[in-house]
Amino acid sequence: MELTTNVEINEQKSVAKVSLIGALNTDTAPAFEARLQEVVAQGLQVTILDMKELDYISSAGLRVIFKAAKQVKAAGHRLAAANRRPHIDKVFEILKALPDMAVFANDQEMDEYLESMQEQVKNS
Amino acid sequence: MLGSSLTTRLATMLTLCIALTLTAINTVDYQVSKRRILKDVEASAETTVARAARDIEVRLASLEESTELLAEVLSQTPYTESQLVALLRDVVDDREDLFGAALALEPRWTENPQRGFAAYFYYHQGEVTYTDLTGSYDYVLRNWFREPASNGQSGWSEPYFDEGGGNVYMATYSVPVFRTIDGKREFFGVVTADLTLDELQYYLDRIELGESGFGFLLSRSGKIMATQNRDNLLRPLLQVLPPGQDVTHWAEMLTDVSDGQNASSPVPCEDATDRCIVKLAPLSSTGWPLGVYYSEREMLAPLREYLAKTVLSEVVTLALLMIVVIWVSRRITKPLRALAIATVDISTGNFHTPLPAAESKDELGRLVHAFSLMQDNLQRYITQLEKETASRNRLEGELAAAAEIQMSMLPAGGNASVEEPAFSLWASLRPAKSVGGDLYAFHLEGSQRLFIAVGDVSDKGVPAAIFMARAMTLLQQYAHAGLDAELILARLNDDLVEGNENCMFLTLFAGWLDLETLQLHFASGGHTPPSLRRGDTCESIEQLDGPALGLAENLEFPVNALQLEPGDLLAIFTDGVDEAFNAEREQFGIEAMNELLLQHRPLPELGQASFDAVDHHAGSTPQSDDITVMLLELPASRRCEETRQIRLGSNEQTVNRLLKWMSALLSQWQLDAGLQSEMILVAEEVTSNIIKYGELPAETEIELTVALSENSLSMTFSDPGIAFDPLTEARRSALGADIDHAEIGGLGVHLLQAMTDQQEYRRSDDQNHLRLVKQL
Repeated sequence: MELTTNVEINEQKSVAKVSLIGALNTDTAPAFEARLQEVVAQGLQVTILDMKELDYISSAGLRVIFKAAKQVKAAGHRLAAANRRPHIDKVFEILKALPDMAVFANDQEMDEYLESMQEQVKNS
Repeated sequence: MLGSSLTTRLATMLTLCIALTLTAINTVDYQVSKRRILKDVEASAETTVARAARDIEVRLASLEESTELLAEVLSQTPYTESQLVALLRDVVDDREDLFGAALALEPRWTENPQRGFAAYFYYHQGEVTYTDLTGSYDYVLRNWFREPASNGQSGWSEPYFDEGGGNVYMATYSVPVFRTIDGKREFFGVVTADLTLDELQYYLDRIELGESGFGFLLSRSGKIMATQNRDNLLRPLLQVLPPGQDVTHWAEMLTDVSDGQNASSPVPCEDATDRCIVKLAPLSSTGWPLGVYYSEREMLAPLREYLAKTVLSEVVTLALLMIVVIWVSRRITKPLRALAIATVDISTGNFHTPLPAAESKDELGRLVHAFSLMQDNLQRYITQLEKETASRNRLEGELAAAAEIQMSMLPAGGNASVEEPAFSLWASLRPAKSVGGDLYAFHLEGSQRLFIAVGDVSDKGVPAAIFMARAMTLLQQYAHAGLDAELILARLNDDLVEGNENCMFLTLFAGWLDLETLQLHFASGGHTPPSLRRGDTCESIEQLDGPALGLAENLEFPVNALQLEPGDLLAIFTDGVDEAFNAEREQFGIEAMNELLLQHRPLPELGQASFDAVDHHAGSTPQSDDITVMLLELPASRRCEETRQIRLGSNEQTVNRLLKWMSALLSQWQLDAGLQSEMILVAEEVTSNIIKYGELPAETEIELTVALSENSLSMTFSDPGIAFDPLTEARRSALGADIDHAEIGGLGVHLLQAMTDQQEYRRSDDQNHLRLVKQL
């Protein structure tokens, strides 16, 4: 039960896409937390957690996401989740976790969201 | 206003009674008086007639006497004719009661036989006047002369109108005078005396017999000599009778009288409606009938007048009486009417309505006093009732709260339904009053032993509930300590004896079931034997019974051992079930319960059916005792249960090891991928929690037992860490908050409760035991 984390950063768009592959549990959470903190520290407008290949998440993992979400919000930025699989979704639902976090069911929704974000940035 | 009031009735009845009485008295009085008066009148009429007759006869006798005397003198003494005239004048002059007198001599013996001698003196305009009756009058032919001359007897003439002499109505008494002439008794002449009928009328006028009553005098031939109506003078009575009179009857009466008898008869009055009376009696000297005629009605006039006055005075008296009665009774009933009005007011709830004042100590006074007492008592009673109602409401509220607290002391709040791979258990308690004295308990020790108990405190209500609470606390304490059943009963007994002044007691069934061997070790303290259903039979089990708990110290309870078999159903209940009464005072009975238990249905349905059956039996009879039913069913076949265990040290690799082991195991059991993921998540949450907070001593391990049965998956975590019940003590974050308010951490317990169906924590053997079951 390992967790692989891939980070793609588009500085031009000020978007970070963090892909989680494997299990985010008590064991893997500390490492992931460190990795995520690095990304958040860059102060990008949007940080998207892509959970397409996340098999499993425990409360320890959620704790890391909560923490990041608070930090991003404090900086006036955004944290979003994409591609949550049903059993991951269920965990979020049970805990009623982050009701105000943007959630995209698939890549297309995510792209559209990014587009609109860009528009907003340009306009502002 | 009066209508059908007491006043009206009183006045009417009283007046009516008195009026009737008076009428009766008056009628009787009138009849009696009438009879008496008529009798008196008759007597008085007879007396009147007699008196008038006597007076008249005295008058006649006097006249007759003097005439006779004159005749005697004349017969003895020779007078010259002029002497005779003078003598006659003296006589008439002397006797004022004499209208006139005549002296006529047989012409033979007169000085002038051709002419004769007849002198007549009479009163004319107050003067004594002389008339010579000789000459054309031819006195010798006159009756008054002829009759005495021929028969030689004195007597009265019929009445006549004297045209020649006095020109008055009169009757004449003639006396013949005989003189001895030459030794020979010769008729010498006649002396007469005239009596005017007016003189007689004088006596009749004195008769007073009512207004129209009068007297009358008849001559011997029936001519009227004196009467009211002078026109009828000299006429025969029978010819002048008014129309309507029976002439024959009158004639008969006259005949009787002329025979010397008295006659008396009622005849019709002139107006024919009344009765008149005629009385006739002959004058003894002349035989002239003297009669009276009077109207009875007139004679009764005074009586009627008296009666009329009496009736009038009675009517006036009655009217006065009625007024007085009405006044008095209205005065008496005035407080009653006021009381009626006040009572209506009171009936609307106005208890302060003043009652009429009644100072008197009579019935009314007492009534008003009684009403006033009633008013006060009602008011007090209502006030008390209001107070009592309020206090009862408060008490009921408190009782309801107490009932809630009591039910919460029971496992699953009084309605338990547990599904385990090794057994199913259903238990329910329904108190008869809001709080009760029944109890039940169960406790799974590890996954090996199941403790079950059902008890019943004597009596019900609040005292029973408090006793039950005490017993319940102690029972759970001893059960968790894992004491054997008989020991639990013995200890509990000793505990309950202490301070049990009220001598309350507890019957209790308690036992441990070994889920591996299905051996039930139990003890009973006077409790109804449980029923055992095996296959198609259901019977009460045989047990060695001990005494009820709480009455005496240091008791021992016999141990019972019962080997159960797969598929068995054990029903433990309190006497509220078998001793439930219906309206006919018949008990529900253990047999009925056993029969009902034969139905193979899911336990909750079967349990509910047993309550329904008891209710149906009782009908409208209120539940008299607490009812508790506990059903324990063993699976028909031992479901092939697979159990795996892992011991985890507390190090960095713990969670990773756990996850890998779990993942492999669940995949091997071919469970649904989602379910696998959830169970792994739960296992991780629990384990990481224990590691993080359990302060596990070094070299100790967490033991996880995972068991799979046909329809459930259970995970039991045992650790020697500090006593910690994550189900109640773990920090829980509030869910649903937005990112600004969301807590970081405190999420795990939410997850394990959401993802498993049953969670159970207990602390025993210095270990935490957390058992989680997921139904499949």
